[in-house]
Amino acid sequence: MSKTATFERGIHPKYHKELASEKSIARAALPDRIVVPVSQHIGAPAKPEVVIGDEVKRGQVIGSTTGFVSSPIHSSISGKVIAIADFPTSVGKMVQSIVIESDGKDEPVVFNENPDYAGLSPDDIKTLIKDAGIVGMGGAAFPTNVKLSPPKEKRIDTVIINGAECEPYLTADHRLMAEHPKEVVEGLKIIMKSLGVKEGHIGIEENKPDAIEAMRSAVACETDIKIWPLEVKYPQGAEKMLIRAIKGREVPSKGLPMDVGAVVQNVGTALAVYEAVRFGKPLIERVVTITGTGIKEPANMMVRIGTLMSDVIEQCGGLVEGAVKVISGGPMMGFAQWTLDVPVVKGTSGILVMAHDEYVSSDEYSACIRCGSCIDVCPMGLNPSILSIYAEKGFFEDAKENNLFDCFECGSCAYVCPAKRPMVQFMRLAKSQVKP
Amino acid sequence: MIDLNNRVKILVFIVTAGLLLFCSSALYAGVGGGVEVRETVDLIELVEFTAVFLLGISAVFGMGLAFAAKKFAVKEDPRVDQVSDVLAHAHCGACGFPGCRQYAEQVVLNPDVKPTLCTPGGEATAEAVARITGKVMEQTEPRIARVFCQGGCTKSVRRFKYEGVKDCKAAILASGGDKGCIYGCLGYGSCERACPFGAISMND
Ligand code: SF4
Ligand code: SF4
Ligand code: SF4
Ligand code: SF4
Repeated sequence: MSKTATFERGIHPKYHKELASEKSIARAALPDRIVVPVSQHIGAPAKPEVVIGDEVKRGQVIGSTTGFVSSPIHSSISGKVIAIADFPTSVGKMVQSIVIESDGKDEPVVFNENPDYAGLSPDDIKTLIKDAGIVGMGGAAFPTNVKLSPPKEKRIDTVIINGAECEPYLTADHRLMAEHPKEVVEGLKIIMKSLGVKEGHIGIEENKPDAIEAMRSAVACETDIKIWPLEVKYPQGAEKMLIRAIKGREVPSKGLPMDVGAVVQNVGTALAVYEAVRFGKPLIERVVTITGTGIKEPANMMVRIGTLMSDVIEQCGGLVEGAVKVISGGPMMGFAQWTLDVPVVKGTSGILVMAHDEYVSSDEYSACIRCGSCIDVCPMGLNPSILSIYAEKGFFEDAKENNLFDCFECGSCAYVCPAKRPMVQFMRLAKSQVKP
Repeated sequence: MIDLNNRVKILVFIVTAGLLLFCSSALYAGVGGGVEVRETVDLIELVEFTAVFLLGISAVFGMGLAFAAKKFAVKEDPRVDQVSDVLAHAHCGACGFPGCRQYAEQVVLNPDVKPTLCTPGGEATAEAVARITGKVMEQTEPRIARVFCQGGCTKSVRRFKYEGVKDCKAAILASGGDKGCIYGCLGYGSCERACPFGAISMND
């Protein structure tokens, strides 16, 4: 292939994928205790369905949906509910959470298997996905069944599975594709069926040749599914960039992928969809990459939802001397943590710990020197410089006029800024001060 | 001001001009009032007549207004204006009056209203008001509000090292701010920068 598919602008950060890319997915130990926040997704929080003292089993519903855009939550262990109160979460908010203490037996509820799932109707599929509490597992955590129920006037003709994994360090999706390619493809086929779509694509950045190989052989006899090696560039895995790279379609300003007839789902989501539809298994565990120079033994682990980060880090040999920063997610879009006692949730793709020498401080940022570097890299074609200046000076309305709300906080501008300006925080500040 | 677009403005202009022309030509032509009706209308003469007519009317009304303004003028103590000039003009209400003008009136007219009430103006304003009104200015200590909770920087710990925009609205976006006490003032001084009178200052 002469030139691989990609989008315009973007950056080339150091990837450091080698820390964990060869590590097979290991199963994390059964935790003594889980903390399950009622809100792990975009939309209305779940309503607790248990009270303190209740016995629960693995896979049991402990929180039910409270609206169309909402998602139920399940227990990932068997044991007893010991608390329902506000606990810190990885996005920095205090959220009502259900704390369950393990009884060590790990007893499951009976899952409804569907060996002949190929015969299910789109509505049955969506119900199964909804009941399994599946949300986008790339990080945004938007309820999947909602994404699969677009309004009638939006005609969807393409499903894209996002295996780009453009965030540096993270290798969870990479390992999933390399180790479970068949399941991912089945998940994609189920998603296509639920939308009545004939065209499936899987985009993978070229730095994962083994994943591309595995996926290629998994789709060898599928005529409607195509594997796309993509240029290694950040943020290749952003929905809009992926659609641009694979379909050449530009999502309009303030628009959504469905405006150009596409639905994008993450690799992990595809796997969860398959498991939910085929085995009736709710989303109670996910693959997490625990990596970074601050971790003794980087790994990819299947972690139960609700396991505390401190637990997981301990199983990876703990922190090295001089570890300075812990991030939930990747280095570009993840959230810095102030305590390790926050749970892994449905959207946690990685736990990244940085040692001192990797860490860049933005404490002493200066005024914008108008170098224009940020404008060169913004994948949305925005002018991050002027947006940051408006935010700094409090002209939030002007920022909005300049398409502030098209910014999806990828952090490319912050990465290149020589003045070390905390660009994404400026964007978030402005967004918090005006209505979209 | 009512916002009219150009087309509407032009329309209004034409209609007004037309009306004027109509009225004056009606007068000129002697329609109504039993005056003899003219056969033809001389345009130049009509315009001249209109101009003279308008000038005359404006002169009459102008004089009327001028006379009324003199005759019915309300006498105001000139000191009210003087006091008003030295107030801080924040219209903040700290003096207890709806606005600066009301305070100026009351401090001049009402012997019980103290000259020291304009807080943003501070001591200089109080002195000036006292001088103009001839009231005695009691020496007042400036009253300063101070946060005495345990949430200050010297008492409450920081949960983490915050790096980023030095603004409380921005800091609160990062895990609810770095202050150990969730009620404590974050201390990045957004309020200090927002107050145009320097009423707030950050120390510990
Ligand atoms: S302005 Fe927003 S979208 Fe553009 S580079 Fe910066 S963070 Fe990314
Ligand atoms: S990269 Fe930084 S310094 Fe350069 S124009 Fe953008 S904001 Fe300004
Ligand atoms: S306190 Fe001073 S500035 Fe405030 S309303 Fe009264 S006169 Fe005006
Ligand atoms: S009182 Fe002022 S400095 Fe303290 S948190 Fe509020 S805005 Fe910030």
